[in-house]
Amino acid sequence: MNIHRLIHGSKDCPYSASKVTSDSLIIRGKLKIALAGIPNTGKSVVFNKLTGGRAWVGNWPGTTVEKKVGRFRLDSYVISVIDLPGTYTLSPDSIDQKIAKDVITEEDIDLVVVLLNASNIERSLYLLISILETGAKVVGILNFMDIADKIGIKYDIDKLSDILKIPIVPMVAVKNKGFDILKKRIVESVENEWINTKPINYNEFEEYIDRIVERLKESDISKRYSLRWIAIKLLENDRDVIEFISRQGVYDEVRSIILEADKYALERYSKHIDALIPIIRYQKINAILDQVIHKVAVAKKSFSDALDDILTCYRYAIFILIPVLYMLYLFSFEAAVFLSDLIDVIFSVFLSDIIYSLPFQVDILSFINEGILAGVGSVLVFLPNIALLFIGISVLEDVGYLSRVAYLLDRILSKVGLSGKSIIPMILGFGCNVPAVMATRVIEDDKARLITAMISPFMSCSARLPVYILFAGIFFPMHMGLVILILYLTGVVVAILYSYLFRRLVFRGPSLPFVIELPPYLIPDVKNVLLKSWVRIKEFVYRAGTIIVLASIVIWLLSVFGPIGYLGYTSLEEPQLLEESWIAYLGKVFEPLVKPLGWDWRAAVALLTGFIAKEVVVSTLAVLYGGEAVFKANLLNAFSPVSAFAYIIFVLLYVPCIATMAVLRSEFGNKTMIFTIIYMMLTAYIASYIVVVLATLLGV
Amino acid sequence: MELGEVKIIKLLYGGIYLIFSALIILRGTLDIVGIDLSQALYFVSSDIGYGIVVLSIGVISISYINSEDIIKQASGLFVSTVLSLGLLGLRILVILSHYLDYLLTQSVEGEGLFDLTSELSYVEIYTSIITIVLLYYAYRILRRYTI
Repeated sequence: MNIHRLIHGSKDCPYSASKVTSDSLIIRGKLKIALAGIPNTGKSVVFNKLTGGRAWVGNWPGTTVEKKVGRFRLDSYVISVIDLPGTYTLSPDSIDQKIAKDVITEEDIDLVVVLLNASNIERSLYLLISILETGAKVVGILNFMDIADKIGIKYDIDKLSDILKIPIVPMVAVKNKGFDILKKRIVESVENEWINTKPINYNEFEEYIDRIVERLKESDISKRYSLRWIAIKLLENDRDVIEFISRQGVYDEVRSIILEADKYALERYSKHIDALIPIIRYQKINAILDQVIHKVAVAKKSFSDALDDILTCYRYAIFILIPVLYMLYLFSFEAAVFLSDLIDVIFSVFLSDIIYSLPFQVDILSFINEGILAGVGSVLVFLPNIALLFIGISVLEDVGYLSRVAYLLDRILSKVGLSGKSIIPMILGFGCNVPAVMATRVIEDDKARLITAMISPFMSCSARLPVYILFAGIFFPMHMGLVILILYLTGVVVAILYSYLFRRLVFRGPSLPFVIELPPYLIPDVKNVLLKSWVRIKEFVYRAGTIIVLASIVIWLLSVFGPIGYLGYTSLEEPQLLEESWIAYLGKVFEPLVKPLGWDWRAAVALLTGFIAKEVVVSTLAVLYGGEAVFKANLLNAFSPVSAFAYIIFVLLYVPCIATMAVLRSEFGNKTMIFTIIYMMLTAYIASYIVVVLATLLGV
Repeated sequence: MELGEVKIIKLLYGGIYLIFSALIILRGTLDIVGIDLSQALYFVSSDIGYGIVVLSIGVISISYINSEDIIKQASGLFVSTVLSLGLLGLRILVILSHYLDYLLTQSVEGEGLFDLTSELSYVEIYTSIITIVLLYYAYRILRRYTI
C-alpha cells in the first residue's frame, strides 16, 4: 500500500461529476496497477487490450493460481498491470480472494482498476466498495454497457462517480470502446492524491468503527493500513486481520469494542455483527443503485436468456455438451494432424538430414539428433494440439458457454469430489494428458483442481492407442474393438473411483461453494482469443520443454552406454548391443517385478522408454523383439493373451509421459508429481496383477 | 413464421438427424461385429461417436416441441443449427488437415492414403444448405421476439 498516499491524501474530491484535476504530485516513471473484478466481467479482455497481450505468466508465490503481469506505455509512464484472480470479496475464504486482498493491501500498488458488470452490477459494486475501503486508489470500469442498454438499464454515470468519489469509465471492452477515456482516467488518478476510504456509511456501527480506529491510532498499524478498513475487517471477523492485530499486541485493546458491537447487533437485529456488515453493505449498494440506475421497461426477453432456455436446461444439457466437446476434440486433435506431422517431419527428416550432413563425428551427431533434437521435437509435436486447444477453450470461455457447462455439471461431479469444470480436462485427456493438466487452470477450487489433474492421466490419451491396437490386433483379433472399448472405460471408472477416494480420504474438508456468474453470450473477439492463447502457449513451451530435453538426453545416454563403456550410437537399432546398455540393465533390474505378470525384461524396458511418450513403447518393443519381420511372432511367443491384456492395462494406468509429469510438476510442484507417479504405478501393477490372478482362477 | 410452422420444421429437421444418427450408429455397430454393410450404407459414416453427436443435434432440434412458447421453439432450432454448422465447419477443417497430411506423407514416404468419401459423409453435405436456411429463420424469430 502506498503509505505516502494515505498520509497526505487531499481533502477535496476531484471527481465531482466530470471535474478532474491533474496536480502532478508524484514523479513520472514506473507505475503499478492491479486489475480486479468478479469472474466474467471481461477482465482478461481489458488486460490484453491494455498490454497488447505482452504478458509474463507464472504462479502467485506458494500457490497454483495463475499470475499474469503485463506492461504498457502511457504518456511518460511505463505501467505494469497485475491481473488479479477473479473474486467476489476480499475475505480470506479462498486462495483467489486472499491473493487479491494481499496484492491490494500489501504490495505497493499505485492504482486498482475495478471492473463492474453493467448488466448486473450489484456483486461487482460490492467488490469495488470492499477495495475502496482498503484505502486503495480506484478507477471503476463499467463494462458491458451495450448489454445493459439492450436490457433496459440506463446509468447516471456522473452520479455514480459522484457518490463513490472515483472516476467511472463506461466501456464495451470487447468492442474496443472506452479505452482512450480509461487511459486518461488512469493517468489523472495516479497523478491525483485523492482517495476515498469511506464509500459507504455503516449507520450506528460507525461509532464502533471510529472507536476501534481511535484505539489503533497509536500503533504502527496506521503507517501501513487504512485503520477504517482494519476496523471494518475486525467487525467482519476476518481471521487474517485478527491474527495480524493479535501479533501487533493490540487485539485485546479493541476486542471489547467488537464484543460490544456484536452484542448490540444481536439485540437490535438478531444477527451477529460479522453477518450484519455485508447486509448493510448490500443495503447501501441498493440505495446507490436506486439513485443511479433508471430501468426502461422492457417487455421482451434478452437474446441470452432465450438461448439459456436451452443451454442451461438440465434436460437438454448433455445433448449440447456432447457435440461441443466432440468439436473441441476435433479442433484440438484431428485438425492439428497436419501441423503435428509437419513438425515431426521437420525434426525427424529435414533437421536430422541437415545434422547428419555436418562435418562432425557420427556419435556427436547422433547425440545432437537423438539426444537433443528428438527431445525438442517431442515437445513441439504437441504444440499444434495445445495451441488449438487453448484457442478452442478461449472461444468457449469468451462466448460464455464454459460457465454454463460448469454450472450444469457441478451438481453431478461434486458428488465424486470434482468441480463442474473438471469435465473439460477429463475429455481433453482422451486426446493428450498434457493439455488436460494445463486445462485444470479453469477450476477455481484448489482441491478439485488438484484431484482433476491427478486423475486426468487415467483418460486414455491418443498416444496409448498404438499400443492397444498392436496388442489387441495380435492377441484378440476377433474382439479388437471390444478390448479397446474396455480399456477406455476402465480408465474412466478408475479416474472416478480415485477422485471419490481422494476427496474422502486425502483432500477432506469443505470445498469452495460453487459460485459462478453466467455472463451474457458474446461473439468472441478474435484478437483477444489469440492473445490469451498465445500467452498460455509460450508458457507451455518454456515449462515443458526444459525437462523433456533433459530426460531425452538421459535416456539416450543410458541406451548408448553400458557397464562395458560406450556401445556406439547403433545400439539404438541393434537388439544385441542394446542388451548391453544401461537401459537394458535397468530393465533386468525390474524383471523380477514384472515376472509375476508374465513379462520379461524387454517388456519392462519398453515401459521405461514409454516414460518419454507412450508411442515409444511400440517402437522399443519392435527393436527389442527382433525388428519388424519377426516382431509379431516373437511377441506371440513372449506373451500369453492374459499377460498381453495385463500389459495393456498396465500401459493404460501407469505413469503418464514425461511431458505430462513436467506439466504436473510445474503446475503443482514436485510432491504432486511424485505422488502421482507412485499411486499410478501401484494402481497399474495391482490392476495388472488382478487380471493375471483372475485369469488363473478362471482357468483361462 | 407462426408457431405451428416452426414446430413442423423442427420435427422434420430433427427427424432427419435422428434417422441419420440411427443409421450411423447401426453401421458403426455392424462394422465392429464384423458385418460389412459399407456398400449398402455408403452415404453415412461408421463412427459411433459421430452418430451420438448427430443424435444429440436431432434431440436439440425437437426440444420443447410441446411448448407453446415460440422463443423456446426458436432457441432449440437456433442452437441445433449452430451446432450442426459448427460441426460441418470443423469436419471440413479436419479433412483439409488430413489432405495436407496425406500430401506431406506422400512427399516424404512416397505413399499415403486419403479417401474423401470416407472423410465426409453425404449426410453432412445434404443437410448443410438447409441448415444455413433454418439458422437464418431461427435467428430472425429470436431477434423479433427478444432484445
